[in-house]
Amino acid sequence: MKPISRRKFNALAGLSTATLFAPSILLGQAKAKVVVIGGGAGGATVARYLAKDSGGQIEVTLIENSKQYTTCFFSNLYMGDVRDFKSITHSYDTLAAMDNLNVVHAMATEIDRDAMTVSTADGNTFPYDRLVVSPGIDLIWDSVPGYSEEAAQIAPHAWRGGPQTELLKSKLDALENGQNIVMVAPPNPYRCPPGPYERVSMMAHSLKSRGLKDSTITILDTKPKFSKQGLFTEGWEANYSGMIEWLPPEIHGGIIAVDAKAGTVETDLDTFEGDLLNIIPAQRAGGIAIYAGLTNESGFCPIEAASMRSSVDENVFVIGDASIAGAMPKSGFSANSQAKVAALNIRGDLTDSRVFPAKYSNTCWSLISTDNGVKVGARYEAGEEGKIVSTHKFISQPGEDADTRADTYQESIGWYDAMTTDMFG
Amino acid sequence: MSNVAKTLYFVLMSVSLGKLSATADANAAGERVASAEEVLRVVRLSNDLAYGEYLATECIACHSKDPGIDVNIPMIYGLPPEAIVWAMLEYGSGYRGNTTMRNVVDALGDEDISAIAQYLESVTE
Repeated sequence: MKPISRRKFNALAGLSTATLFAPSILLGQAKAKVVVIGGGAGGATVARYLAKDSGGQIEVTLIENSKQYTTCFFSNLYMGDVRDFKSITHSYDTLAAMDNLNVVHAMATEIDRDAMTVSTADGNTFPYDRLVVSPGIDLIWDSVPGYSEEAAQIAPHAWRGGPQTELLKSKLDALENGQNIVMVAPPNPYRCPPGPYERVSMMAHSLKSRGLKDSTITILDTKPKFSKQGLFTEGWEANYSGMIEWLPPEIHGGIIAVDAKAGTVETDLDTFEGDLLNIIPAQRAGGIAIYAGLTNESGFCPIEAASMRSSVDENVFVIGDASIAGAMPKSGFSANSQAKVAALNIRGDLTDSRVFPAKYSNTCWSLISTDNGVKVGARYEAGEEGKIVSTHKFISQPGEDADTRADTYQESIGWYDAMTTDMFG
Repeated sequence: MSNVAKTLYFVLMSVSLGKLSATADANAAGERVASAEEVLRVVRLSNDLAYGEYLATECIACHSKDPGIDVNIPMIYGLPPEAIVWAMLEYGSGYRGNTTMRNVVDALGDEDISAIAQYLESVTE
């Protein structure tokens, strides 16, 4: 039995030994129970790793409402006609067939942190010894005045994979020459920092490929700079000259109102008209994390950098976009990496397995044009001040030759296949 | 596998992995091929498979056990540890140019590399 840390000892000291979770588990009288909320890059990975690595000592329940998962990563390549929708959509069948893993397709509606249970909309309740919360993001609709869930049916955000992705693509494909796109890009922090700009690249690629030479894309940004800015700007000039205009807040002066039906975005500078509006609002942790009291004033969930354990409940881990992961960007790669650290620590809590120092990593690849890939990446550890800090990083360089860019794109394809296999088996 | 065969395989695999490196940029100042002595020294540093398995969870995010064709991310499972250590030392020295792998290796110590290599050899499926 591994020693109990001082922090954990203090937390447990007030309880009678009869209520401690550990003895029955360590004596093999019952399997420990882990519930995972959310079947994306974080949740699917942690569920799979716990089920496969725990020697049958942990029973995992993965609660995910959708029966199929469309990845947000690579959805821009679908916009650019580089991938089809089927190739970015995955089933849970292989996970569901694993021993010690129960996949429940239901909406998780409530976490009772005192009773240590999760309830679903269909009336079931799942007890847990450890809970992993990986719900991804919720959109803050009114962060863009005039925007709403209803308006998103006309002016899609497409910032969660699935029907919105297909809606944006169908509207993109319906554009005719001379018709224009207006995007509102979100403020930090948000899912996939380079995502809006890769999306613009891929939408421009689609327009150009179809000969829509008079169509333009205007980006009304809510922030003064963005990820891989130099690389995107260079790529846009080289491949889509005259098609893309990026306007930061100091130029447009702020978003005043979106009218999805009229196809307009009013700013201090001007009213922009788009035949297609792609409105990406501000974001926060998925609602269930907020209702469960796991978030702070930022709308996201503070965690312990060494483990991804919630700062407010030691029986809960929060991973992926919903967490405040210090220097790590909100990405599928980050969520997958965090899931492995969480799984290690959960196994350490519930079985006698070893726990190693947390090591995290992330790489974000973006496709600018055909075979023209760029990337940014870093490695991370728990820093001295309790935050996840970057220790080593790299980024593609402007002016790289075509072979390097083609290799980078090929690398991203290999990563996608490996990552989705790591998530879904 | 005999020692001679293993050594031969190790050299061949190293060459193969080198070709697969995306942007190998040999012979720049300060860069070098890892020596056999250095490779063998690092290989012997660790036999901690549990630690290697944990570290290698990062590898599998990109290196599929069943890589598709036309993908330039090499297969790394079931190889002699010498091949993995050789390649990683050459990323660390800058002899191999792929920036993703250089960044991975920059954050690892020799014992980490050894543990990863020992674990990867043990992966059979």
